[in-house]
Amino acid sequence: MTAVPKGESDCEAQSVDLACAPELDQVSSIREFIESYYRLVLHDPDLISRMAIAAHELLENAAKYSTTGGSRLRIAITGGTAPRTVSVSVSNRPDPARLEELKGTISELGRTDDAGELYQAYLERAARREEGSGLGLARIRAEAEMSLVVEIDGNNVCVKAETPLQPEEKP
Amino acid sequence: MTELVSISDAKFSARATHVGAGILLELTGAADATAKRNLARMLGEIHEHAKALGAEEVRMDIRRLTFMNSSCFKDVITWLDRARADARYRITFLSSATQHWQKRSLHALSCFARDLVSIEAS
Repeated sequence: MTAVPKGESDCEAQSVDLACAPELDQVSSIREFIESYYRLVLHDPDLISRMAIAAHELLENAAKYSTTGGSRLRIAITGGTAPRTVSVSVSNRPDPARLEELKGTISELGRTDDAGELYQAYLERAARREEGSGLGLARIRAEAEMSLVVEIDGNNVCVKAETPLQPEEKP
Repeated sequence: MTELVSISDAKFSARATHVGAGILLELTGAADATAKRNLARMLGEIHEHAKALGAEEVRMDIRRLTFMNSSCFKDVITWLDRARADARYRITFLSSATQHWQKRSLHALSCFARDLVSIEAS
């Protein structure tokens, strides 16, 4: 695993790029690293907790479904002087069945204006599921209040969770 | 005070005790994929203990819980669903204002089981 905080500008200095192949039981350690690092540069505990939820859930999905085992986690703060955004993205190569499921879930989550109401429907479904929770992405959308985008390039997929950085959150 | 069930892993521990007319369940550490292996079983056992003891309330203290992943969250949801169906005891979450994820997750839980769940923040 490599951590590469970049230093070309303020925004890049606050970004993190990790190439990793975590086992499920190692994801918490990466989340804790993210929380520790952003406590130093963002000074917004609520925003950091939202980023941590997104990073943890996306990395767990990657650990479960990546066909190669390898993933790339990127946390970026972008926008310069324009309205800034924080994004948490994980890229990997999932199996085709998972890819279709992923596209369907993100499409469903993107169609609603009321993420909380849809999340409650996911919770009702989860209560009766035998395998898996099916909650990770919905949790990012509803609890972390981040929008979700999926980008597909051949067999590679990148799931990005994004939220505006409020003016008072400027580091 | 009688210990009912406990689990302890490297980064997560849980302990349930019978206290007065209720059960106190204390979770510590990070409830992630490792904790998932035991949490579902433990919550099932607590549900059975609560019914057998005629408990009026289960108090779940998560003030020292630093994170809960969606798999463990699903186990809590399943437990709430069973408790909601039986309607024999209420559930109170003791949360910490400094664990920011808790406010968001507990809000979702309270919406899921509005008549069953209450939250005490400190």
